[in-house]
Amino acid sequence: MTGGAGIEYTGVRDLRGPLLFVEGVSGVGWDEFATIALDSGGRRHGLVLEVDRDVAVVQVLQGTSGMNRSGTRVVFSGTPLRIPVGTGWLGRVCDGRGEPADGGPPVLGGSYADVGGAPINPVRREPPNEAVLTGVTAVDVLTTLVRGQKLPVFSAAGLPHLELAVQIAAQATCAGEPFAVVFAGMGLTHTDAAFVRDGLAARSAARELVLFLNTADDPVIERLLTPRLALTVAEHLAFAVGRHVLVVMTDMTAYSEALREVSAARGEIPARRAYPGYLYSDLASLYERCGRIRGRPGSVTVLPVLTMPAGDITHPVPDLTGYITEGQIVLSGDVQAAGTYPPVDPLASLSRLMRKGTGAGRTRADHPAVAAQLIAALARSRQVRELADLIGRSALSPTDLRHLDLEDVFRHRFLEQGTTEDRSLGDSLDRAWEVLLTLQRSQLGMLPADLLDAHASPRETAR
Amino acid sequence: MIAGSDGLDPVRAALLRAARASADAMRERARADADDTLRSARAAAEEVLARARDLGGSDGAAGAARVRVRALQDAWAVELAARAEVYAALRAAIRAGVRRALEEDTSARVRLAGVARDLLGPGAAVTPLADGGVTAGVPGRRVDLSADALADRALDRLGVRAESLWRPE
Amino acid sequence: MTTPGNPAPDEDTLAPAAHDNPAPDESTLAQARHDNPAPDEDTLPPAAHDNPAPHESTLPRPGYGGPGDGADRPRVLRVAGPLVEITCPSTAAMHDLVVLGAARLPGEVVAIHGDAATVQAYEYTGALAPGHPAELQGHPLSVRLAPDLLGGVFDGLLRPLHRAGDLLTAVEPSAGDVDRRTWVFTPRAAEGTEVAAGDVLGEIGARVPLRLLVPPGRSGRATGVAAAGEYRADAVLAVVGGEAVRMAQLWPVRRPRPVARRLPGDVPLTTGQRAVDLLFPVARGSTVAVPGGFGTGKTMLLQQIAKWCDADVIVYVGCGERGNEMADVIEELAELTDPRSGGRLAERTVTIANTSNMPMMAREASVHTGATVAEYFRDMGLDVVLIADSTSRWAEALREFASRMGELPAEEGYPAGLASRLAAFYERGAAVRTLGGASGSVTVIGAVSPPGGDRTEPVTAHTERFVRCLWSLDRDLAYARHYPAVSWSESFSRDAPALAAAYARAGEPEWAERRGRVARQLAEADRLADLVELVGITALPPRERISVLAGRLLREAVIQQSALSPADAYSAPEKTAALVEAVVTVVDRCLELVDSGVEAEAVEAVDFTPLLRARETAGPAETAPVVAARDTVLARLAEAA
Repeated sequence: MTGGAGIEYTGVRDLRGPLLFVEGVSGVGWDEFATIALDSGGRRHGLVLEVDRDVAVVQVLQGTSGMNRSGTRVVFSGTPLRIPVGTGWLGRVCDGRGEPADGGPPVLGGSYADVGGAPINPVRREPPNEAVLTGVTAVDVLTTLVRGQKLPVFSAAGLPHLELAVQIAAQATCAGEPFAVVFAGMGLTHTDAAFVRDGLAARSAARELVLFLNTADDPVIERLLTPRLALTVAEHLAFAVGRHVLVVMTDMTAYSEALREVSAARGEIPARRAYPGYLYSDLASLYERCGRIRGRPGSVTVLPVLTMPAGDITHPVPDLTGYITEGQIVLSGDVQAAGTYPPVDPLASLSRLMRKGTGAGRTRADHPAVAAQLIAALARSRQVRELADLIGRSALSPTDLRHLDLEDVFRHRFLEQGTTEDRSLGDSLDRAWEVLLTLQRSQLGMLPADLLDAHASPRETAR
Repeated sequence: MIAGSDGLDPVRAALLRAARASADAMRERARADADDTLRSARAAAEEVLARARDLGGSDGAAGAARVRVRALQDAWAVELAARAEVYAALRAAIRAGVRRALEEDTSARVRLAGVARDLLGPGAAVTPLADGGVTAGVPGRRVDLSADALADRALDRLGVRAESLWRPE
Repeated sequence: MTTPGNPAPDEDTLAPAAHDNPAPDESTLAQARHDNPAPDEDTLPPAAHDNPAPHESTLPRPGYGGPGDGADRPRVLRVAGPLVEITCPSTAAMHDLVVLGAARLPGEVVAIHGDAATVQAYEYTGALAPGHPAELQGHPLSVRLAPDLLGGVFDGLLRPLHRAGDLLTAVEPSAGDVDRRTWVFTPRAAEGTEVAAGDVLGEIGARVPLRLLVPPGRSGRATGVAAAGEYRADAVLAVVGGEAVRMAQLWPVRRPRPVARRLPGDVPLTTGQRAVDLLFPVARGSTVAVPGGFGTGKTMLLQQIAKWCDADVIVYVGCGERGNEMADVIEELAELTDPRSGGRLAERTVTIANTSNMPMMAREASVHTGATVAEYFRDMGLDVVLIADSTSRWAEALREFASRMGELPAEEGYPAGLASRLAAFYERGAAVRTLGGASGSVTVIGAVSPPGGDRTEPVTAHTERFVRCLWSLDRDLAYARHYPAVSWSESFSRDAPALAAAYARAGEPEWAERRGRVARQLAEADRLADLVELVGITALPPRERISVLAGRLLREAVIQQSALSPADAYSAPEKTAALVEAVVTVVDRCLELVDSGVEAEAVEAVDFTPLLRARETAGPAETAPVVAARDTVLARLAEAA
């Protein structure tokens, strides 16, 4: 990132919030990347937000603190931000701007790619239909992640979403095919960042991980860049190198707040809760970068993690995310309060692409029916639980009581799992059977008779 | 990190060619030094790994896995540090090379001043620098054609080829 | 500039305008003709061959900034995302197409102030800088309308996506390979007859029967009418009033195509979705909004309608929605067979895919593009359904641009003109008498995505006022996996009375009664459900208990419908009627039983499963298995008595 021999513009006219107004420029295009050198030392970076005749408005990623009108020199790169892409990223830990944070040299690449990405042609998309297995029972069985899908985790303050994100990032596999994880952390505390690095150490040592960490004390606006770098690196690893890539992005609420901050600084007209009106399109420009392309081997699967402020699912960030993504994994404070990890709410969670990514030849033949039956049974259990709260357990029918038992078995044998416990899909599905067989056969109408025959009799227990 | 393309090429290209040639030459020369740095780093890393294997044998399975991961991590950190060192050495060598080239080529500074005036206009005030390069400015605009700036640009242009320093060719 | 009398800038550059073609007037239309003389050329008058000047073009050429061009050529002044300001010659008109910069990004003039104009760019404007050239095209944003649209997938400006690469960069999809398909043309106008706009010049054989019409604004003697044969879409098939007529023609997307008059909508559009056909029916040419929060199954319902409704042509506009979903619908349409024509469903469908990560401003244009395509087929006397998913994303594009323009915001940052823009869009839906005297229709179905499920937000609130039908999707129903989650209490159909009258005229007076009965029964069951929560089912009198049962039977046996089941995905009117009749008969019998003193509990304990499964056991248009299921249940009731 050197200024090289480009023209340095020194005519700083205004400084306002994160915005720098440079006059006297010529040939500077919109969305160009800029490097800003300060006489007081140090370099900062920025993006051109607007260019009006000879005045360019630069959004400074590290903020304008300490900048003045006379000692500031701005060089424009001539193109929107591009980064080197290639396998050189694997095993590297970088800050939110892609600078090494692991003591290594800068990441070099054989080619460069625009961090903004280019939309995948809808007619060239291959509809996703193969699973990414995470080793987390609740996810693999009930909300199966499918290669090329975007499936967010909806969480709230105090819930272990980071633990779950790290566990999924550490354990995920694609049936032995070349795999990689790109993890983008935004606004993480140093403790959280260290937790992520430690939790993913094995994956990093195996050169299957790229880590971008923007911490809570890093420049806020840099967060706007972090997920874009991650996705750009991931797209290359997927569509040029041929790996299946899982991109974990956390926390998207912190990202959206950065977007709101910039929008406010620009004096834009706010929409809901003062978020900019383009929040939907901006989030979509990230989430939609997942997918598969016909005739190419790899895939990009996106797992954004977001915390719902005050647990409110109608807050713009979860709401708009829900409109864009293909389902959601919802973490629940109630399940957490009962001491269960991962605290997944099975009824509120959903993977819309699961139907195509599970079953014979994909996961296991009994998978779709077992998942559907389990959800139906749990829905009934919840109703029974509410009824029991109203009229008392004694007034329940035997079938109802079995549904209460089912909920307990579900929680203890199925849902509950260690944060480093990696379960095979077979194990997870067998556990699902164990839960279902709490009920009588007549209550399992969604399971074909042959499947019931095969699983019902000599039941494996106690693992 | 940025792909260079600023449409100022023809004139500057001639100047940069010298820097780039020097960068390529430096890369070749740096390889020998790099080999030394990396050899000792890798030996250290191997030692860490071997120790981990010994420890792992005596410990429980889960503990062993943890130790192994830790060792792999440490070894990788050593390797990365060595690469960073090699890369920094390459940068220093290229900078020195460019300075030397500018010193030897007496007309270089004149040509650099010409480039500066092409970029900024004939009225640009050109300031010679001790390293053989120049800076130039007009109100509101400035160009940095110092030896170091030229060298850094040449290094950037090497791009992924610099990786040959730590990758077997 | 184009005039209302001659609206289609027939011969000129196409809307995309961003191809590298050095001679802008050598558009793909013209190219196809020049480079590859079609077999029909012999039948044309000489004028159509080498000397296009007299009638080929009445339009100014691109770069017409003035005779001096050169120095005062329009230039970019300011770039802020999709908002671009340019210097502007006085001849520039509002909504004129502009191409920007070396990459030739298309844009549209949206404001003129003094000697500058504001342009809304349809592509990502990264690296576009002040001083870059801007080229006014001298005509508004227009799209090429032709039979080959059927079965195709296009972006928001109607550029074919199958010709673009894996990734959509700002570079124009290669215009290189011209469509080489041919179509069977059968002339229907005699040489030398006087014809007027909308008159049929000939028929075009496609999976959907198409017609070659005299374009709007033209009239005169028809000459050079091509002989029966196979022709490419760009071949000249006749000359009317001295101007060439081809299958392919250009039309400005923001200008509704003219019609003779609007007709009242009283012909039902059968969607094959029972919740809709039974409770909230829609007439051909009507307008529908489908509001629903995320996860309520909006897209699923719209896709079902795209697949199974009995229109001739479907225009499906995926506006700011998911890429994987678009890929899925494209693949499914290509695989499914049209039960009416026997061809692929894709062959009656035009898909416009502007996914949420494609340029936002092209999203704004995409709904107009879709409406224009729909009207093109409507004018041939066809019934067209235009589906826009989702109009909220379109409204967001309006908001985004208004905000950049510095317009004063009204509610939630939307421009004050939001309501009128929405109204104008839905007004493009109509049943009409075409200029040629045929009847055709465009039915508009728009999804609405209320943020936070808040139905009072501006887009939902305004849309509800402008549409004739509302299919409101309910989160609780969806959560209970009840699909389609059309709420019977919060939806409406203002077409229902007219359709009831039409059914009565057609000899089916019981249609209205059936609808009324189902609606009443569902409402009654809902009312009782609240009561049951308070006092328990056992506290209700017997007849009320049967009402609760009836509600459940109607919901599960009739209203619910499985999109994944081949037998149930589509329900023909006769099957829907049979299902309702079966449930109603069973319910009436239940009532008789409790009236005669049978315990309600005994009736409730009867196994109604055959009735609940009838929608799956009977094929899409079968009634016999439904009747059989009804009789089985009636027999069981007899046993219980």
